[in-house]
Amino acid sequence: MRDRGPIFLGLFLFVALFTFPVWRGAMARTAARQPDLPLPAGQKDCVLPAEQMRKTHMQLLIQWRDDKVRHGITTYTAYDGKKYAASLTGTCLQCHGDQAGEAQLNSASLSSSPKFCDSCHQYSGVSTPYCFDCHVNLKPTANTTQASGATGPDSGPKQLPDVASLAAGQKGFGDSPHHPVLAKGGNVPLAARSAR
Amino acid sequence: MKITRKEFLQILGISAAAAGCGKAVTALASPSGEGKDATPQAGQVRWGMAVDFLKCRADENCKDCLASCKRAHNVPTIPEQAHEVKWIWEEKFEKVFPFQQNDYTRTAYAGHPLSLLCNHCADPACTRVCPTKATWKRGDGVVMMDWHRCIGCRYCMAACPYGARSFNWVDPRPYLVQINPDFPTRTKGVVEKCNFCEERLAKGQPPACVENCKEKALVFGNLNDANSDIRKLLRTRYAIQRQPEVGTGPSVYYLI
Repeated sequence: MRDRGPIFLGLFLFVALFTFPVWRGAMARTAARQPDLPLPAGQKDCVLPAEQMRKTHMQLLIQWRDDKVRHGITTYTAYDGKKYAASLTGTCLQCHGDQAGEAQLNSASLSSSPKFCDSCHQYSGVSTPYCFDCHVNLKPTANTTQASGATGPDSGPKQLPDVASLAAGQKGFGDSPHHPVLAKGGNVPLAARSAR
Repeated sequence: MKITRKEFLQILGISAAAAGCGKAVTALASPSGEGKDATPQAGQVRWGMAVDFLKCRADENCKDCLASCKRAHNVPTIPEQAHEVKWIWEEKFEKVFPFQQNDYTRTAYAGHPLSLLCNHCADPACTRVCPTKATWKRGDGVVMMDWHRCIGCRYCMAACPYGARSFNWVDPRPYLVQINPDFPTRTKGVVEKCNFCEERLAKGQPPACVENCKEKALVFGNLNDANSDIRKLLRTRYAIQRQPEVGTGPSVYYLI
């Protein structure tokens, strides 16, 4: 047993090096750097309070998608009574989108998710959203905060009278009620940004 | 409590009869068949379109309806014909209506292009075969698509008698000349078609092709309203549908 010294020294070194990241982090007494989320200029409120948005934005997006595509509900009434167009590009990216102004056609940034989404998704190890394979990462042409005021680039002033009156009285058209899950504050555990 | 063999069999028989009656009642009470809202009902909206061939024939070089649709919906222009994506497109009259001509009328119709689009049928074949309900018929007659849900099986393309559906074989974005940020593009692997501009209908606007037609050759309106412009036209002009014999009940009429 003359080799006991070198063996234990080797073992000690191995364990020390192997656990280096753990005890170094513990010694430093610092937390990981939180994602840096710049707030959009000139906007104070989101469609939900920030804390709920962090927890339940995915349910909200799915609710908007189903309301709009399946049930023809194009406006969302927020918790504070404000009305928003249920639109990813039209409403969310108005504040959180990357590009302003004209479309940089075929640029890679058009299809990549906005930095706002990416910063948190990367931090918490959640896969990058593929929304932007179809939805354009681009600020829309018109101010779509009010659903009724939204107009496309080639929409003229004229309206078909029976289209206008009938679409308004359409069954299923109207304001979106609060989502039961979202209204309760959500039931999804918060992966990132837990209390420090 | 003791139960005899005879009593046991009696209870079994009565239970079976009761269960059978329940089934029969529910079967009789529920409405028969799918697609209830597909049949036109008075007072309900059913969007339709009339294409005035005579006006289109007068100016064959006009492509305003095609161009405005491509702009409004980010429809790519793909040179390879096998990968073509069509919402509203042109076809020669004799290809669309091969039996609507004879030796003497041929010169008046043949060779002239006609604008074709999804017929938004009363009883669409495409929605029946979709395994994921990614396409369905709305109460107002629009045959809708949910691209979030499309798995790209192309059953609907096989079912559609009008070739109105296109599959995205390639990523369409490189083929877009201009991007309208108000409407999403599609991704590789989904089927798409004309949506009757449902996003514009929701705002009370007519479809982009109708609005951009200078000749007013495209007329859009409620087929269930006897006083709508389209119904007035259909009362006074001779109108034909594409392949009415297949029984899908197209909502797009051609005035010839």
